[in-house]
Amino acid sequence: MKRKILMGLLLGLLLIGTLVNAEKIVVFFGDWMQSNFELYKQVNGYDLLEKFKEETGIEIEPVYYPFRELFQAIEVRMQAKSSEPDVFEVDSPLSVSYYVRGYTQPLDAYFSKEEIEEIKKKMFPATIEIATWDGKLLNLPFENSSQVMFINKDMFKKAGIEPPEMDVNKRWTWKQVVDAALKIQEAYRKEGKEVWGLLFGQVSRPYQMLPLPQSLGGGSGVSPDGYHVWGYLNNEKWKKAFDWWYKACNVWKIVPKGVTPEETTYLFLSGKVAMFIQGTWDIPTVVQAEKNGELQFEWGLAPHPYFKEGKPVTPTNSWHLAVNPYSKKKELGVKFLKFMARDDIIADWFRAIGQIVANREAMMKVLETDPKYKEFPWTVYKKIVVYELQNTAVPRPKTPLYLEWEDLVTKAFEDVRNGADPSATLDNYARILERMAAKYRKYKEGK
Amino acid sequence: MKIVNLILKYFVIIIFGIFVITPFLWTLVSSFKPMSFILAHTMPFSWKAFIPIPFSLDSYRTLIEGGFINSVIFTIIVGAITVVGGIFINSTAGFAFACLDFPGKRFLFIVVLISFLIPFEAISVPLYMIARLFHIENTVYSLILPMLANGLCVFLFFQFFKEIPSELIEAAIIDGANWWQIYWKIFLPLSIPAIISASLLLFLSQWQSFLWPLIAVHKENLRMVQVAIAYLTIEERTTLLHVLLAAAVLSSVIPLILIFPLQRYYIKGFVTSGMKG
Amino acid sequence: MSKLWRGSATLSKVYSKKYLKNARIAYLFLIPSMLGLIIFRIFPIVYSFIGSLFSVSYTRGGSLVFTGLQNYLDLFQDPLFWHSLKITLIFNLFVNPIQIVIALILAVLLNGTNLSTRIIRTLFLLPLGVSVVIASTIWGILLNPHEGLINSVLKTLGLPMQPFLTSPNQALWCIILIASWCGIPYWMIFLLAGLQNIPSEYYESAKIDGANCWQVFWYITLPLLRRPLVFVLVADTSANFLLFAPIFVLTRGGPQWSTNLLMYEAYTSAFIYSDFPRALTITSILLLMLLVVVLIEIKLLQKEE
Repeated sequence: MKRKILMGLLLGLLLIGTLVNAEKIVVFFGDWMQSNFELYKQVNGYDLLEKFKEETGIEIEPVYYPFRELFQAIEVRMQAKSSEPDVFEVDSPLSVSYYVRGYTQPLDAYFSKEEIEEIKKKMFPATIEIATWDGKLLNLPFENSSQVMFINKDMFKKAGIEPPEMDVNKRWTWKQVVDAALKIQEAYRKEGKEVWGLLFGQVSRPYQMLPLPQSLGGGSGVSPDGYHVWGYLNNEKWKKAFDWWYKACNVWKIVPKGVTPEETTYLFLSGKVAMFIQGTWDIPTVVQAEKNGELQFEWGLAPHPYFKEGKPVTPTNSWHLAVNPYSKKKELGVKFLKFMARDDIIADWFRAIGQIVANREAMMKVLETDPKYKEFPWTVYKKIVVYELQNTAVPRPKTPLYLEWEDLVTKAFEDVRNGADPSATLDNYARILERMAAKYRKYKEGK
Repeated sequence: MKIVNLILKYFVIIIFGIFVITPFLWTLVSSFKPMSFILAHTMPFSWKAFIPIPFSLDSYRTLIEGGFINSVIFTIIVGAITVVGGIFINSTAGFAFACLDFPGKRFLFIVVLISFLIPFEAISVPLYMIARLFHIENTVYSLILPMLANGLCVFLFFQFFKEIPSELIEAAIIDGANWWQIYWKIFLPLSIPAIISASLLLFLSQWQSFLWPLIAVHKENLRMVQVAIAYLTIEERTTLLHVLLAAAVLSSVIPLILIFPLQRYYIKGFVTSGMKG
Repeated sequence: MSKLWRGSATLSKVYSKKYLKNARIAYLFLIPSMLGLIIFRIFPIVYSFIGSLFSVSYTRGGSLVFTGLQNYLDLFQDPLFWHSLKITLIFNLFVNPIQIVIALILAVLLNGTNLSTRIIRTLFLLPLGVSVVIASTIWGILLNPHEGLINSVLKTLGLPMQPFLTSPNQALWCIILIASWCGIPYWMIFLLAGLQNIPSEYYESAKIDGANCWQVFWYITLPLLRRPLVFVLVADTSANFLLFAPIFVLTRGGPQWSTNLLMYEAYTSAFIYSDFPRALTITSILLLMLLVVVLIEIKLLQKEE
């Protein structure tokens, strides 16, 4: 009897011991992930973080930040070389930039060669490309994105034009877009109303606008090795694309000035825009507005336009996951990364959240089996999105000075939108960026 | 002449009134509209821009369901504590500068000046490291302690205390009062307008604080109001403008509810009668 | 330290024991606030200044390398720095007088105790609770060149629509407008406190002497408002020198760098380019400039007794 009690006590202590020692890691997420996790639980019947804890014994303490502030928080922590967070979300175009600053370590430090090969095989190509540097995979692709053209069908009807169809084989050229936009605006002007033919969702941001020069074959705006900008940002094709952009905003006036990325969706919803190029994440927004009876027009979806003399290019990429090299619990963080690379987990993620993921295998599984994707507007995934992700998605340039590059190229697009000379603007910013690249080049040559 | 002055006075008030109030009016009205209608009536100009039709409480509902009220209450509490503590320590410092002499006075005065010339962004990283050092990170102390000592507040009290005539001090010393009594029984009661201004300064420094609470604290129940607004309005790729407008309305009305009754204490002549001469 | 002693040497000779005793009491009054300021403000700024003497080494994975004043030299050779400096000086040259003069006028006009004055005054205080970030967002929508309320009103009145924030010539003025909308109510309160402190006897005797309201304002109100005005000037100058929220929200330094205030350049370096040493260099220079300006303001306008 006494022995049994003793054993029971020992076992109890051991149990308490493991509970107390339940290892814990801190993960920084964007605050949209909080509602995503709730949605995940609702649809799949289990909590993702709980499941991770069950399988590995590691507890995750999620810390959520709003979009802009996530970057600031990461900056402050990394500058302070803090051991917290253990894992954090990385905006994928920043992969190289974070790497040269020592904010992340490449995956080959903790994954085996075979594991990395497996990851590369099952992700969409652009997600791997944006996170590869010096032959190494810098972080784990997690989410993804793609763009389509939202259409206000009523506006096309009024002008007597056939709107573009939801078919990648019937993709419109930019010329077709401009012609339609002008006709639609004219039709409304006759009634004294002002509307807009074309609107870009993330207007002036490279994420959104890069397809313009890239569709013409102008390249990514940075040298292949990532250390030079002059001659790559201001080459002939980029200038041609900027010239088109200048005309769209100032000559044909089909794109409104002054509307910020935060306002673009609101403008489309209010019925004033005929063609709206935006990410698929806004599809639920429009569906909801329609359900609420707020949408005053019939809408449709079509593929992203392209320049006839070039080839179709679409924006892509989203959030990845990385381990903090200053973390004291790196192996635990790695386990979380491996968990988030699993097909079954990501398939459940896509099923619940509906936003595009990097794991192609997981996404295709759901698209094939879930009946939701057989109806409008969700048919766009199979009809357009998958094609774009496999064939036309081009990542943003990989360069250590991506942060500076993105900020200044945005300014370049904005300046031209507001009337600055396209060619001179590109030359000017290329010059500034080339000078900024010098500080990275200096260290590359091994100072 | 008098009538011209009166007309001029009302003209100026109305012009600036329009400037100050119109954005607020538009914000108020638009906050009661559904998402799709916020940008619908501004061009061409129609009176519908100033009438909440169609009417919707969506924005407010999103705010309240997101825990906005909790952050408001929390910020008011943090603000109140900062005001009480801050008034005390900053007015004593201002008193020392205004009435006492001591070695290092000029040096410390420069310290006071520099302290409010520092942009917060420049010290965000070391401040975070200090918070970690004192183990106050992610606690309410990290929100209050760095905001109690306020150089601008010290300067405010310094300016105000300097106005108080020295005869009062001399009279008090003759009566045998010590410095603490002079401060507590004479200077403070005479400084009600300064105390109210300083309270406003301290309270608003907490009400409008954003970057520091964001970095220092991430527990949901320790969220300050501006941070809460960011969480509720900034999405991954967009901003929920309609919720932002509702937040703007609520965050401007609440301090006003606190300020309006305090205006009574700005009474002219109450504090100074019998002082000069 | 000994030099400061000698300044009060005469006093110390006569009241030396009392002086020391007073000094001790003064320190007791000072310590809570000074301690707070030194720990939470001065020490971090010194740390940051030291940080500006280092640079990021990208080969060593972002570790810092001591480079002395190299960052400052690099900055002085950067044309963007000089341009931002120019924009900052122009901005401050206009925004400070505009804000203070208008705040003063409003404070004087709304200096009453009857209910209607109090209500109007409270309405003028509405912008106080809104952060500058939110105010900028709202004004950004109102100033939109095509869809904004301001332009639609102009159009209805038959006036030409303006590009506002999209024009390199008008953008900075729009920022001044937004900063004023946020700042004027704030400064108005401090000036009101100062006005309330002027004894009514002065006004009454002036009336008896037959002075009109302009003379009263110029010869009585203004001189007695000297100290609150100096406070407002110093506080406003520092607030405007360090302002960048509207830029951050609306123009990001554009169009064509016309609104690239120095503080925004510092913020960009730190949180957008992830180049903290450059940011700290800029803020150290900014702080120095600001200190000089503020000391001049105080010396010029403050009566030394």
